Amino acid sequence: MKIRPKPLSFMIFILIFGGIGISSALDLWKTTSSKMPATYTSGAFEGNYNPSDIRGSYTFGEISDLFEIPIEDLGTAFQVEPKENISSFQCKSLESIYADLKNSGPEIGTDSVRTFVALYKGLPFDLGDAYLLDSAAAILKNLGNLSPASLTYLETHVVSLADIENDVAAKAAEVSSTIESGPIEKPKEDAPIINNASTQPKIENTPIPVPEQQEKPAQSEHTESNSEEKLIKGKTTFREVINWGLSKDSIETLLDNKKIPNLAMTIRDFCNAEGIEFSTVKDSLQQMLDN
Amino acid sequence: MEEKMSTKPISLNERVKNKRYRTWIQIFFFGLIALISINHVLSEKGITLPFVSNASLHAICPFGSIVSIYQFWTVGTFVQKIHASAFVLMTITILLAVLFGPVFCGWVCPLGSFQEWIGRIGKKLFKERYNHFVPPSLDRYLRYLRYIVLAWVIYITAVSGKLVFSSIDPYEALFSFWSGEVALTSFIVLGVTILGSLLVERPWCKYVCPLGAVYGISNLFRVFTVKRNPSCCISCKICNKTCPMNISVSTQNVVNNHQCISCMQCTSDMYCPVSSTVEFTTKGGN
Repeated sequence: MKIRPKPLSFMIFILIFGGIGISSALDLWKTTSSKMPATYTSGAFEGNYNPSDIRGSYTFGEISDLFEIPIEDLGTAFQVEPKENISSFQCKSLESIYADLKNSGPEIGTDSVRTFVALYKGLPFDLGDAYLLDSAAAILKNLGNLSPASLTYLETHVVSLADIENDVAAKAAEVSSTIESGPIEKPKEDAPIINNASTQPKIENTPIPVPEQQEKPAQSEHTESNSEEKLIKGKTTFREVINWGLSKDSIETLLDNKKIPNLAMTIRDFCNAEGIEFSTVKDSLQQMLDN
Repeated sequence: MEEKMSTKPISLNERVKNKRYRTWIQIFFFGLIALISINHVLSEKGITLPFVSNASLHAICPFGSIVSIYQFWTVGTFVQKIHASAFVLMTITILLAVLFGPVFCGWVCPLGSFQEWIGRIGKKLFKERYNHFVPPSLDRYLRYLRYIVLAWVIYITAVSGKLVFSSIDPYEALFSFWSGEVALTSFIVLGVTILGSLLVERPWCKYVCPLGAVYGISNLFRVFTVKRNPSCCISCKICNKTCPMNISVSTQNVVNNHQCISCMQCTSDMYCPVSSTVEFTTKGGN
């Protein structure tokens, strides 16, 4: 049986749009975020919302409702004011506001929000390379529930707002003008959305100085951990930890005597498979390495 | 003994119409994607075009789901910017590929169509030399580069959880250049693709496209395939000249080359001058 261009054209149309139609009817055709993050499927936090699924389109108001974080803390952490704008402030707006900062290394964006939420709620999370403002770090430290690894992370992934030589106010005003009106009163055009602790700095196209303690070798969060740092991350494998000096037996003892199936397996994947909380294992292994 | 096929002649008008079906399908999908992309940007400013979706480009591209498979399988979430619609489109296009091969590439993909249209300028400029600038000895190996790109993109996306490919994606650059959100590297890749299209037909498709690499595999088992009847063939080699992917159709009875995009240009319905000689048919049928 052969097919000619005309019927093939119809077949293409029917299959594509018919498929979309059927998936719409089955409520499978979704082109936008549902504003409902995925949940943990195992472990101590099973059923809880997973901050790693926070999208750039989520607003601070939505995040506050979903993760039960006071909206004021979110606003203060990322320096968003006035308060009536915090609820409608989208995570992705941070990237445009702090775009100049990104050019010199640190990135403040949706990843920063995920990290903040995870640390704030003590949820399992793969700490990557996202940076936080010092205001966010201060809030997290004040909570008093951070693990040693998390505290170490904050020491090396914080940007001081006072060091940013950036016309944050101008960018914030631009973002402010695109925020939809609605139940939230639209801000006045001359009201900056970002509150700088000092007076608004002028624009200067100079590289933003990053404090020395934040300098680290450029590496993807998912490449093998730097063996000199011996820092356990989401993609650290059992082999790496053994190479750093821990014995396989001691690791398995820590894992409730569960056998490691494959040394090349990442510790996080093993924990997910066994229903063990990764952050607890990570902290314990880190302590053993540091001792 | 060779199977005798029907020898009902195809008129020139009918061939012209057949070519136009494909052209109109290409124009339709190109325009649709462009409209959706414009509407997406406008919707963020509070303006919406009626009857047009305001989905993001990533929501209507099947490749996003392919790179998101690992994360969806292991964690249950999508890679950033990818939505369920991309998985629906992936399913549909794979079904199309099983039936007709990479017909998505040859009829639907707006980036492929765009390269073809740029290529028409190249044909006018370079005439017979067009599409033959790359030495065959180099070209035969470069055709497998897209599988390396595919593997690399899938791996990097799996380990980073980010849509890494968007930083070099010419499709995104082409349909979002007005949005201010496109990486400079994407523009560079798009520029190279455009320049390359003046020299070679569909250079992105041939050498780099990771989605084309996925669909290209379907050429090995697609239900409908390009078959040539050697008893009718007059060896004019027009099929070779019209093939955008430089496949030597005239030397094969069944075209299962991984680069075929099921465009049907080599068939008797379009450019082959002898009726029922090269046809898009089921493997066992006439």
